[in-house]
Amino acid sequence: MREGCRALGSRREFLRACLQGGLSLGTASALWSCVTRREPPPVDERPRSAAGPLEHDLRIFNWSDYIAADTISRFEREFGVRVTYDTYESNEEMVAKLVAGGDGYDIVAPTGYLVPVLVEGGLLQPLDHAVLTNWANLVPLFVDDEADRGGRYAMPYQWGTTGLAYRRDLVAASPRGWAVFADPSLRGAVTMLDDGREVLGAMLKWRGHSVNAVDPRQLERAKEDALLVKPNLRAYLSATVKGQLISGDVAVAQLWSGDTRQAQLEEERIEYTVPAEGSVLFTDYLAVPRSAPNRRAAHAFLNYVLRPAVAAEIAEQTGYGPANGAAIALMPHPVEPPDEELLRRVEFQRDLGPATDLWDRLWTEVKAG
Amino acid sequence: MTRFRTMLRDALHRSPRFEAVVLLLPAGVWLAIFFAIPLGIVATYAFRPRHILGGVYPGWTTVHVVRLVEPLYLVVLQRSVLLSLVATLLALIVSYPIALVIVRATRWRALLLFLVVLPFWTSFLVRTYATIFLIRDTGLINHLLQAVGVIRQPLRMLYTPGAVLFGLVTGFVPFMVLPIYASLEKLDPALLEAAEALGAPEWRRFVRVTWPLTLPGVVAGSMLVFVPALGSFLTSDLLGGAKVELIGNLVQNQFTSARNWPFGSALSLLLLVVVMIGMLARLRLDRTRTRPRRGT
Repeated sequence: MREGCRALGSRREFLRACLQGGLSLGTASALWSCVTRREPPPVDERPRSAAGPLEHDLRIFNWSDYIAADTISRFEREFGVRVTYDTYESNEEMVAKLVAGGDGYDIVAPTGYLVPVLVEGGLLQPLDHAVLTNWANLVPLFVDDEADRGGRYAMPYQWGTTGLAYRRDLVAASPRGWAVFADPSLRGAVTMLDDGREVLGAMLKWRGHSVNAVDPRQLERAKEDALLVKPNLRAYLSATVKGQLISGDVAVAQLWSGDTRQAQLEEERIEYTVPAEGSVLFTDYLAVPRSAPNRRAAHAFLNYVLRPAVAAEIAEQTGYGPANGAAIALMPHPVEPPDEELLRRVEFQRDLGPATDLWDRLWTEVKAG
Repeated sequence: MTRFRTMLRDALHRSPRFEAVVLLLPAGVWLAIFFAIPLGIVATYAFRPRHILGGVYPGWTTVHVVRLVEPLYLVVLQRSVLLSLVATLLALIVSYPIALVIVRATRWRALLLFLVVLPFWTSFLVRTYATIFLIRDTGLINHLLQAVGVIRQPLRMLYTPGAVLFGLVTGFVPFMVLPIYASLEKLDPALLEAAEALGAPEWRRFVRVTWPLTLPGVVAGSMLVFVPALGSFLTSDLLGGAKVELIGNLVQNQFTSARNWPFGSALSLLLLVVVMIGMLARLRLDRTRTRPRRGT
């Protein structure tokens, strides 16, 4: 999702390939030990204290290009902790690893809709707020979100929107809404994300429905709209579209705000807008898996990221908005938290529960059509 | 130590079966651990209830396998089989002449063979990305054609079904060339000389002698192209712009965004069955060919 891989998101595809290869060959034992019966966490589970001397190691599993260049090295120097830093390209990739045995990660970065699922599945441990002394820096909007009210299990990290990234020199008029993808004059010059939730979600918003709709009739309509739009699309591209926008092969793309910011650094004729009918707002969190071997160091890192200067640098370099309100003023290009006007239009993605299967089916029908 | 060695050698010599067991042991263990067991896991997962986070619950169910026969998935399978067959045929058309040229070359043979294997020096992924840079609107081919004045508007090549086909063929051509080359090389030139002496023109020598005798190489090459093409998903994602859904993409999707490992396993089994049908067809072909023909 939040790749910064400049020209092409090669790592995403490569990792996907590894994931699939791994599933069919190497990880036999991990698959066997895969959680088949996990106890749900007790309702008012209390966090274990994370105070005391830090462990010597810390293993972080984060979205690729979703941190500032020297965040890790500075943390290592200041706290005397050796950090192993791995990245992933989709929430599902991260979940698959957690489910298959955790790989000993101390910090992961799930998107909001996934947090309740991970909590319910018993994969996260409650945060010890006693050591998260910089917590008050966070914007209440994100802390109070229903994904994890009050931040019991996860700390809001960064936020962004899905919208339209376009080349103002290649379109006759600035696109306003999702109808741009059905515009015959742009045939072959537009792309949507390679992500069923985003494409069907956009089609739902186009007709005034929720991006989390579970009503089969609304979803059926969204599928038909997606099929209607498909011949107009150049391709379904996620991170890779940045390179195509920069080269001018693509005029309008459905893209995430931060990725657009990264592309704008190389091509100033790229603009970004959130469609009038509405779109997706997402928050990514940092959380500590239940199986984390270094929970004290993990908490120290979370508190480190809560520092305004650290959060500001991460947001500035990734192009996304900081969940840290005190960081905004420190950014050379500040990203203000979503205002009233934007909040009226956007919606957080939620887990779809049993409707996941229907969504997947309809998305397959779109892709196969 | 030496005594042990002598004993072992004697045992190996005395019993051919013991020798076979010893020689096959490493490969057998390897296959058991990295092929049979994972395959068994896939096979059992296809019949397990699904876990919402991915993974499975204990217990048994047939819902995933039953879902396979839905037209939606069969259409994707049919398209994948068709595309792979066309890719195999194109690869054959490209590869056979290459193999012929290599066999006939004497001085350059080593170099030509080296060139055929050269693509393996980089990963398939890198070559696919290189293809993107070649065929995109602002890519090398379009720039060249525009500079020469052949076209004014860039040709739409990237993100089309044709691009997927092109990617598959270029990716797998070496797998086709090498077996055909091997069988051509084994071909006894005396047979061709005899055919010539008996008055067969060049095309007839090819149709009656060369082609039938190199058929095993053609079949082997075709399997080596068809099977990986059928399971491919990167090519359709990268060169097809994810607009051409293949069975490999379906499988991959079930293990990631759909978080439905059992259905993904069921789809993998379906793929396996299709490949097995191909293999069995090949075995049959072999058998009919080796059966002695009645003379006239």
